Amino acid sequence: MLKNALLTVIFAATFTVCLSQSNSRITLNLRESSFETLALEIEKQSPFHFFYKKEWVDSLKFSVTANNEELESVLTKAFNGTTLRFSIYKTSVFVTSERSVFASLPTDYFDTQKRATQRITFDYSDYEKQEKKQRSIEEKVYTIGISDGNPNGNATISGSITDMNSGEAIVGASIVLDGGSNGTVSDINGFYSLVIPKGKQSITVRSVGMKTTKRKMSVLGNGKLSIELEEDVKPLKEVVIESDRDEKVMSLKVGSEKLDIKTMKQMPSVLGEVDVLKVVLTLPGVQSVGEGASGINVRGGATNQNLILFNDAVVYNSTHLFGFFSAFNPDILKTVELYKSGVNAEYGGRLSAVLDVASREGNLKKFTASGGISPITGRITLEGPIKKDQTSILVSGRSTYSSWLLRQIDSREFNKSTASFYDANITLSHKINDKSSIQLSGYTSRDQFKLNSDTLYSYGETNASLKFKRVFSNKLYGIFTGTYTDYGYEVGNEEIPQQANNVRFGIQQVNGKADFNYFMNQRQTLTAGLQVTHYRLEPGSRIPTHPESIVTEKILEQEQGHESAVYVGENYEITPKLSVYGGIRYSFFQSLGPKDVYLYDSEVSRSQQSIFDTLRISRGKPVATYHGAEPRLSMRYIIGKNASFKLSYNRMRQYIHMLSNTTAIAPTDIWKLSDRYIKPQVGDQIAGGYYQSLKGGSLDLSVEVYYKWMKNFLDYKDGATLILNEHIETDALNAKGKAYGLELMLKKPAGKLNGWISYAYSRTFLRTVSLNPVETVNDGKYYPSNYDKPHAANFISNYKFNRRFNFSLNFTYSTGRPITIPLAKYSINGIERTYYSARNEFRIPDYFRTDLSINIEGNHKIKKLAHSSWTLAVYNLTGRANVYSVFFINEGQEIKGYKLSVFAKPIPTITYNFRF
Amino acid sequence: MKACINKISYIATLLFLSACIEPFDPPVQNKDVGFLVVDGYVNSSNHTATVRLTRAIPLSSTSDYPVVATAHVSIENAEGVKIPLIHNGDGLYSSTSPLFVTGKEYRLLIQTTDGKQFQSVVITTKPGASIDSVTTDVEEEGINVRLSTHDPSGSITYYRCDLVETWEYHSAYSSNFEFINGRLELRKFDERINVCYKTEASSAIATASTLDIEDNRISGHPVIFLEKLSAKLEYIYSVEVSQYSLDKAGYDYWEQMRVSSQTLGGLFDPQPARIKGNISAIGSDEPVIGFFDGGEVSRRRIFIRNRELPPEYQRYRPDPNCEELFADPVEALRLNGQLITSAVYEGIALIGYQYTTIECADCRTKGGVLAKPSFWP
Repeated sequence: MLKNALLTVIFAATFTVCLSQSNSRITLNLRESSFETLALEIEKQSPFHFFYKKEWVDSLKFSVTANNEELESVLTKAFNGTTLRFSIYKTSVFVTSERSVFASLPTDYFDTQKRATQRITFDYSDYEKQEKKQRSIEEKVYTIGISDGNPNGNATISGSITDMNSGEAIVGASIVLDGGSNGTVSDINGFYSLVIPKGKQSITVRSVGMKTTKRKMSVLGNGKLSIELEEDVKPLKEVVIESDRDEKVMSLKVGSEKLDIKTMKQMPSVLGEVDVLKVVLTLPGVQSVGEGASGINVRGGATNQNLILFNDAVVYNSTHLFGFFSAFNPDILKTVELYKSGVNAEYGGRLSAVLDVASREGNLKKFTASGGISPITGRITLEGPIKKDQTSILVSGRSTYSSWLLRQIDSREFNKSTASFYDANITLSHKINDKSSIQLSGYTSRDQFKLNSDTLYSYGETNASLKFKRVFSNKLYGIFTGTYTDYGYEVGNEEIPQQANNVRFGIQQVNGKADFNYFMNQRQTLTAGLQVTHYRLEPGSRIPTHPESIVTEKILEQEQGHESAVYVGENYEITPKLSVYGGIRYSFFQSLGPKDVYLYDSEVSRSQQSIFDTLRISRGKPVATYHGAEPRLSMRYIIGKNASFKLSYNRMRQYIHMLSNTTAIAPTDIWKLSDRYIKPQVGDQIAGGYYQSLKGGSLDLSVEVYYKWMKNFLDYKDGATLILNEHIETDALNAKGKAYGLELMLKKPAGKLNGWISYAYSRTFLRTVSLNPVETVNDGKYYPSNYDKPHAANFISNYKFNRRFNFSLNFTYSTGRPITIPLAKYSINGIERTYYSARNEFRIPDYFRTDLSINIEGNHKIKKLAHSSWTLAVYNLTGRANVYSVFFINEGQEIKGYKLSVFAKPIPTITYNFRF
Repeated sequence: MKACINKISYIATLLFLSACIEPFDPPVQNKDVGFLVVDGYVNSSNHTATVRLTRAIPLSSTSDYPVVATAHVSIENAEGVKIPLIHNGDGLYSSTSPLFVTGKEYRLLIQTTDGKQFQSVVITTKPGASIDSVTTDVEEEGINVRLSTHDPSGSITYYRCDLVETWEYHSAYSSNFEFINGRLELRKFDERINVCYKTEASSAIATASTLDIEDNRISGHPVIFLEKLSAKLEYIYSVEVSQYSLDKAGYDYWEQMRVSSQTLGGLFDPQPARIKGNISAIGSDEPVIGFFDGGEVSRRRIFIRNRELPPEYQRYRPDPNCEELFADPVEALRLNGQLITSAVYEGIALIGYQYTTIECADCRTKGGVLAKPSFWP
């Protein structure tokens, strides 16, 4: 209403001034002249004086011929075809760009009462300044490129999308040509490239939680345009996740999910912290063996078959405290991307899935601090510019005080127990110039626990990555990355001096890679790259730590290996409906000496007794060499307006294996490189999907199916010793795996009520392959793997009452995991024993959980010292005793089964988060 | 229950006691679980082979293990000579023969009356090493019994021990009277029923390997732990340690047995497994439980006397379920299922008797025997 009234007033004003204009005649003949020339010419011939904004006119050219004409007609001719308007008042000529006149004023400009009250919460001068700045940017017409004389045809514009406040790259922003069908999405580095027709164009840029902005441009040739987006602090009536609306349907990716930290923050969390892995677990096709168990199982893959990357560095231990916390501090995360299938050729080295976690770069504009305090952990992040708009630093730390809590419990059992962790991050980003930037990021973490014994377990991981980005041209950019990962654990036992010892394991890897992205043309993008990884493993050592200790020192020989890969991939839009991605990765692995290799009698099953010779491989010589091609294919076909069908096939090879015969990832699990006997794991997956956006994009439906084959999966002989075993090949079994499933997901990405419902039917089986009956499990038949949970469903909902209250309710259901249980008892030598079922013949009861959380934001003054929020969450609201594990105890004459539930009652947490 | 607490604390410590434990009934009650259970050993020290045949029962069953008394059992040596084993009752088959010697190959053959045939793999009887010492370490929480041995020849890498424990215990009260022909009479000294001896095979499996140890020596390897206030330590406790040599297959088997009997399938435990013995059914995949092995056996017995232990071990261990009640002489005669402990006098007048339950005055109700073992000091 108000706006209309305002328009009327201004139109009326314009009309009156037009009537009262003075009479001066002008003669002109201008061709492709600037506005300044035009104005100067008129001012020379007449008393008129021009008032205008430079941004509105500086990229426009005017051609006009006038012979003793009135100013009004001259300007009408000159401005024809532009958005410029003019008003003449006495001798003043006001040149405006029509839209800006009306829109740049605050909507309630004339409502003084309202304005007065709003001044309390809104600093208008500041707000207006920012608004005006934004307007002037939006109104400006950017000239792109240099004309090659041909005004027709297409040109490529490229650049980066960044956050105006922090200067950080924005991933997944959509850049769409207005009035056209062309569009693209900014990549992981905020980089985009778009082919558009030459001439006057405008584009619209949208991103989650950011204000939508437009850019006008006059495109002469290929050129660069970087765009800053402003954080949207105003109430949004429209949809929140607009940019992702069509991505699922349009993109080529099958079985991939992208989560931004804003989505994750809305979900209820146990123990008061946003947890990446817990959120990922609510996606269809992702499972864990139980609450508080480390590691995720993606589409029937083992926990060690996921490539987890943090700023491109491989992460070996993704959780703290047995999985109750993920290793990633939520405050510094930017995006998390999970690929369950359709993995592009740049990723490799693990069989099952890729979880790519990227941290923020740090605020380039001003210093800020954020953090949170919950009953168990505290965390803080500091960030800011070292040099404004060019160099930023981000430092964060997180620690737990649970050891302190344990000591408060009045029990001898608990007093002897300790458990604690910390992690710290640092990221330094530097923009060298428009075309180059460099980022250094470091991460370190340490966990320690001692549970009711004198054995102290500790493990830690340190990662570092150095990334150099360079835009070579608006079609080609390259990223050069070096990463380093160091993971290790230690188990110290001091209980009995005679047995005092310290067992250690360690792994280091150094990785270098170069990735190139080439926008060939509007329909083709080429990616290619090269990766080299060097591994060094300390497979285990045991050192006596007391002079009386009779434990002998044992240090297994180091292992080292090289893994390298080259890849090339191409995105090709064959027709607007049909796009394909084809990629191939060729990986090459060598396990290197120095190393002793045992040679076994090939007639019998491998054992210490069947060693007949030892081969000494000298330094740098290959112990074993493996290589192979890994084809990656994806295809998308758009059906109708809002639906698409996709197919993908990929093969993955894995040269490093986790040795574990426990169900969950245990802190004492060790890793092993492929060698003469441990063959690389190879996995093939075909996946297909149907995607549809319903109700004008407010609902996304996806249906995905997959089938997977796995080869050289590692399984173990019963009772195998994995730690400090120098001939693990005598205990390892070679298994084959297969997995298949169906995943359904209905997502409402935006609106007051948003969230998703998902269901997955998935099966996964293993089969040991050996001629020797001792080396087979379940007589060589297929048996369900530990994480085979056929049915899983999630309901994730989030309701925004208003800007400050946000309510979230989730339900999770899954079939119980398979277990091996005792069937019968018998007696030998007067001692009662139990006889077990076939492996994984039975299941624990089904899992069901309800969580709730409420987010309360502080007030929304932009200018105030600290922004704070409270999160109240209740994990397992109904207190259902979900079974985590089943165990059996001898009680008198009977063997009784018990089920253990971890979170058997509701767990309320309250977390205070702040930012200033 | 201790193991259970450990397992729980493993996780619960992190969860601030929110964990919960409830009974779980495995869904397998109806399955036929009466598998044949074989325990066979050729003791080449005394040239005797013994095999015990029983059957498995469901977990919830409290009945005895059924014995297999009617099978044909024999042991075949490398020359093809079959030495039959004779059933001596209680499912125990045995035979003594000069053919059972160290370093030879043997195979166990079994045929049950339902016509099923079973056989073991071929095993070799192994030389033994004599036990150097069995020592005790009295610690704050209890007593650790430790074994030391060594093999000068260096041919033995793996060992297993089994333990037979015997201990003296007393009932809460001693019954000094008994009914004889409806009359109460003083019980004779050698007919007392308050002191018993209980002998039990220990379920603890101790395996050891000298693989990682200097000069093939096992030094102070813990074989059993006795808790400080255990009823076994109230008077005199004795344990006989039998040490067997093992090959790798035997060690793997017993290691698996040890691991699976201590951990019953927690999340961080190794997968419990159906432990395969070295006996199989001929011509069917019917499961057979058990292991057949052989070799020389070395034994050693030790005694632990309560009065020689530190004072905190010598605490009186009252039975909270037992109490003495009073009955007048007439009532006393009508007492049923009770035992008279002592007579109560006022001055010289008998005014009644103290009595208690059978469980509190007859030690045999707790599973022991009155007869003192021959080896008892």
